[in-house]
Amino acid sequence: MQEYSLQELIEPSPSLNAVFVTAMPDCLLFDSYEAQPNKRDLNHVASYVGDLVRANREVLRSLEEYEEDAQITVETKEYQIILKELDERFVAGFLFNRKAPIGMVRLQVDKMLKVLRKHLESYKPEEIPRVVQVLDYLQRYAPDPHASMMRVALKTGLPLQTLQNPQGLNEQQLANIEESVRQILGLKTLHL
Amino acid sequence: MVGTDLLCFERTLREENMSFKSLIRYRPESNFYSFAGIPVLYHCHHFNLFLDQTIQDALGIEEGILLQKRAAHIASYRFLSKVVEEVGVQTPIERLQLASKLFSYMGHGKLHFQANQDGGVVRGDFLHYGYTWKEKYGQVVSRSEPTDAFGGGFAAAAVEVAFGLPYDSLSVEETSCVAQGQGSCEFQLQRQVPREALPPMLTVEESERAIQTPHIESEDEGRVQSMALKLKDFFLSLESDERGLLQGFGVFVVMHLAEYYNRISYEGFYKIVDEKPFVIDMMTELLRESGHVCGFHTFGGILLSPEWEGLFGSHHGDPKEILLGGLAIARALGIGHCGLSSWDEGKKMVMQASGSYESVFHAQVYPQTSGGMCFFYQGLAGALVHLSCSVPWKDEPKFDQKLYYSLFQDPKRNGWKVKETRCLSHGDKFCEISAVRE
Repeated sequence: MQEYSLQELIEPSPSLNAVFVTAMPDCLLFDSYEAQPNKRDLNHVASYVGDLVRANREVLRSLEEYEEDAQITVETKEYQIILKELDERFVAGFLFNRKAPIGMVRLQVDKMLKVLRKHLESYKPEEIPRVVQVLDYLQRYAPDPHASMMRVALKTGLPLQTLQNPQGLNEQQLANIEESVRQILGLKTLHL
Repeated sequence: MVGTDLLCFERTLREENMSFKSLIRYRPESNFYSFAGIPVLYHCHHFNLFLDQTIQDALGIEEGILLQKRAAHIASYRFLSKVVEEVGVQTPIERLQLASKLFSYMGHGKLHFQANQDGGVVRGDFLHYGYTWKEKYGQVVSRSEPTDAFGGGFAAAAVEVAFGLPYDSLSVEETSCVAQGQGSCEFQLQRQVPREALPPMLTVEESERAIQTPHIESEDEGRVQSMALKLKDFFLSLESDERGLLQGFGVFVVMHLAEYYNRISYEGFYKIVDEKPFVIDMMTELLRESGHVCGFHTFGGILLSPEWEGLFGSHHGDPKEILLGGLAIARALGIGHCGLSSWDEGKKMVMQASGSYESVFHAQVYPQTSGGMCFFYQGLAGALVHLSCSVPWKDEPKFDQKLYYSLFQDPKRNGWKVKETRCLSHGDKFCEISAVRE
């Protein structure tokens, strides 16, 4: 499915630790580059990218400063982390050393974004049914993940096997699943 | 409802010449506690939260809370009436002080009454359910419904008993709850025409006469019972802290009314049998899970505690030693007289019990069933085999959520299948649970 690899596309730089592309809205790691492979669990990192991006949008909206082209920069003791929405399908993340000059970092990010956009433009991600996304979201955030599917089964009356293969459910059943997930997570609405 | 004639009871409790401990009896032969003749036992917040949650998942949140409030109201009214009778306090204010003190003594938190026979307000601080929900889940999820159905039912019953009103003369609504993000919990009480009479229930003595069970001997019976009695003394020596909470072994513990647990479990269960039989297996599984989560956290925490080491010396994680220790803990908590019947290490365990707090209730209230009804006990059996075979004791594990999920993410539970093969509810003379590794 992928015709390229970030490991081949990204030009190494002494201050660049990693680049990771997250597929939205499922927050699944699509591809990654690491200067030192397997140093960190980027799958795990990617699973929270959606939250950060969404929260950033809401903050900007509440400040009346929302713009689609905004990017997120987080500075920690060790790293500068930059997240940028490429389009509605992908978010790119860059992990630089904290001490790298910010001007040089921005320049490198711009350069890499061009490369990424070019290579991702023809890619058509597989459509994941919303119910699968909802249940995946539940598994990720439920307070007792080992029991979360059983709780949905009890709340909705749908057998566990059906929840594991939820294709073919009717509208009402899908709405019931979503409502039960919303209740378990204590959310008014589910923003996936 | 709150007028100038309301009695305010926010005063320091007088040191009265009553000792709650003198009202608590522990029957070594059945390993049941009674408090003023009413069955009580110790349980942890993991169990309490999971059980309440399961009832609400099954019935729907609103109906679940209604059932829980009613069960709490019934059980607390019966309990407080007996305590008031035993202690002999007469005036409403003394009775309310007694109820408030009792609530804290049992580890449920603090209740402050500003109510009379027409209703009023009751504030709750550090209520066991709300406070521990916030501690356990508050960082992960938010909640829009209150959690303290038990506190509400208790508060309504306390005011009724204080003012000599019949059961169900006051309705109760939790209007503010820490689990919903508020600073404290608050209940509004309103006078109403009683909708029902207090359902009858046998006393501990009456039910023991009605349901006669053989004495079960565990493997190493002498040692198990000796440990149980020492632990029982230890539990009874625990005192709630300034918040009115009992905290120890990494969990919050309460002395609770067995009738509350049994009413919410079985009334909820049979409602689902009638209305949504297609989810009964799932409900049963989650009722068991509440026992499993308790067995793991509380029993594991006790077995690894310095208190355990102080009482019995350190253990080395020997599977049978863990099992026997777990059974002693169950006896000391007031679950019932249970014992290890057979143990084929890592392959099969059989536990028997003269009766559990669940089956004794079920057998006197409900018709005979086709299978075992000790849901907590089944979950506990599963937890005990895992504690004995899956937990890395030599690494001094921390009994936290992380370890729990790492062990039990697999729904097949490492191949252990637990089944209640005999039960008082089924008409058997005793209860028996087998755990087999397939």
